[in-house]
Amino acid sequence: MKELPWTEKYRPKRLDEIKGQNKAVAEIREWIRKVKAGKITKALLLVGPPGSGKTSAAHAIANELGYDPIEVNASDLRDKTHLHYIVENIRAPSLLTMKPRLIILDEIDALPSEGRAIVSLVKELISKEGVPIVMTANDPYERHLYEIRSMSQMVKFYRLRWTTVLQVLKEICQKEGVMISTDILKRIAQNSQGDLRAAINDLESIAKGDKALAESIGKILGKRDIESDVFKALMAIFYGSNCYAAWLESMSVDIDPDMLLRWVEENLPLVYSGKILSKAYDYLSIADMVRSRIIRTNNWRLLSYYTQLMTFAVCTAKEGKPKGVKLKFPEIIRKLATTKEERAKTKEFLFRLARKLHLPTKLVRLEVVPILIADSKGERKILKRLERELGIREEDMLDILSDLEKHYRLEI
Amino acid sequence: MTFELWIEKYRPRTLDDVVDQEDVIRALKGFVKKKSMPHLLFAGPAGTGKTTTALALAHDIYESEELLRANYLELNASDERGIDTIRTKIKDFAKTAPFGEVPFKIIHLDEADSLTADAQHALRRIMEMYSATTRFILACNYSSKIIEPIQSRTAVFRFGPIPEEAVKERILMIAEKEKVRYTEDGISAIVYVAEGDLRRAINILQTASAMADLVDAKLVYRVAGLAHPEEIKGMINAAIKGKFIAARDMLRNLMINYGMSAQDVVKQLNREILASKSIPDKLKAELMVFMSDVDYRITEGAHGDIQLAALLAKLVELGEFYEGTSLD
Repeated sequence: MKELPWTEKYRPKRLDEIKGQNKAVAEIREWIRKVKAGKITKALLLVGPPGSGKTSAAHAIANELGYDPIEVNASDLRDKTHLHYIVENIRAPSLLTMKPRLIILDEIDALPSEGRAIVSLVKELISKEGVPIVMTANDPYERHLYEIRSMSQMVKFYRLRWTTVLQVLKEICQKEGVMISTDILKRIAQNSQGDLRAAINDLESIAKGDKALAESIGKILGKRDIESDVFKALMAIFYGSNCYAAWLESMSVDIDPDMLLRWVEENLPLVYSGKILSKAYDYLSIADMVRSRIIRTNNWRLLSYYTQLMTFAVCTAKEGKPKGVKLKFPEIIRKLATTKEERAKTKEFLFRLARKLHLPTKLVRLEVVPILIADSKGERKILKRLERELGIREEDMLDILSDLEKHYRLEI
Repeated sequence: MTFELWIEKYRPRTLDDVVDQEDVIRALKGFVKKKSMPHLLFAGPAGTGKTTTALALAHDIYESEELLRANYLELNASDERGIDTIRTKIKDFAKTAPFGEVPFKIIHLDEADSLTADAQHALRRIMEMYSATTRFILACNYSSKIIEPIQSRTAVFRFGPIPEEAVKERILMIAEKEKVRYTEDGISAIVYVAEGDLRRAINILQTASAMADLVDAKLVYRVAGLAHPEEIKGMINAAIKGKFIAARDMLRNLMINYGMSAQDVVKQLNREILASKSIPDKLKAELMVFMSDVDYRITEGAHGDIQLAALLAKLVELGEFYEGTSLD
């Protein structure tokens, strides 16, 4: 019997088997509901990084609907007769199963040169009403996909967390009856950068290969490292003299443009100073403004200016060769992540207080917090009362207040 | 020492108790008598009684705490995440019929002028959609920041700053009741720094009396300055002296740990720079151009921290140019 690769063998068959994409799955279910109700809906465009579950989801959708999936992939696009056949016969139910059909267009951004062909195919398919279409893409902002985006409903898949990947790997090990230490599974999961397919492939090669060697997986498998790509791009932006090359380099990194913006911003003042820093920050702030316009107006045509400004334009700001420094991870991202819980607590406290006092939270912060800080140093009578009225523990409020106190010139 | 926040304890409960604003109150009492009202727009500076009046009006209309609670929704536009969350909350609230005799519920939307024009148009549609069973009371600082279509659908009431005498009278009344020890110049100082904002005056009185046994002018001025985080000044100085990274760290600290909004930071920056005695006027003018731009971009949805960091970088550059400059 032919053995399937594990990535196929353990491909989710149903939507609820798709891991770590709750929001996307919920949106898909809503779409399915509409299709079942017979409402004409837009084509579904599943976007996200490799190995996040898009293709699995597309097939799971067919399963849940009870439709026959017809997969059209990039290479079919070159075969005009085959394509024509598909388009013409699409509305007839499948001869074998008599089920209605669902079109799956996989990786529509894989062949940029076929961009026009894809766009016209999708248009033609959409015009044949009543046949649901599901598409997948890694990068929905690829230029030629502009029209497709406007014709479809986009559902975002996110890079999986390594803990989610680890959980899946453990389950597979159990089903396959292979013993691999959690430590190694953890390393596979972390190396995969959220690409579940890559992780399962790595797992299979380790399980089937020499298990002793598995201990040194870091070396065998090579690191799937996004950070090193980012560093390369940053080097090109900050130190390179060819800004066009810097732009190209940046675009080849598998990273969200917003994240790249953060990387550039974090490291800018480490490399540049004075007038040059100001100039570069100017470009960066305009890039950020363009970003906000894209979001507000949904005008994705501006995307290229956004990425050019944060790479090419920033690159032109320098005069001569800047000093070499060690580049680092965007601190602000880390800070936002590590202080998330406390910030949420403080926010909740201020918000409840604001509602109780019929004030905006900013006024609570400015005018009421000083009273509470003073109270917290005395008999805490107001705090004790607030504990009952707001349902927040006195100790928690004391923590929050001592945190906030640092920001006032209070000498009591 | 007290158990309560005084702004809450001494908030007038009925229209009869509201300080000053006689013209407004007279008109609103007419609505109470008829148990009917149009949509209202309250415009006026902070601390002049808009929220209190809205609450008192609802209290007088519904006549009981229970009915008030069931029929009155208060939202703050600057605290809600966009018009969509506001819409959802209004929808949830408006879908059940009003409780009691009064045939409508009241939705009080504070700081309505913080909504963008687009969001205000959406708000107008929401108001129309639920107009059969709800009345809106919108509050804002400037009615000119409210779009015409909303202004024309509401009865506009203007709240002027509360006269110094009235602020003083109220502050003295509270000080007596709370047995605060004060000096004459302490009270005058409160009235002076409050600038007709009664809520701020009461909060300053309570903060000062919580910090020391005697409320005098010196203490009041110190308390009044509390609201302005020291880091803003430090941040400006660091940037002007060319210490960009230190300045950016302070900015992030203010925004992330202290939770100050980017708009508040830029406003505060603007105030500090304008008032500085040592920054040359020419430099101030250049900064104004830049600050107005940053402020606008933030309103339009740009990342506040990046825009403000760009402003700090500008300060670094200008600081080099005008050597020896710093905030006093």
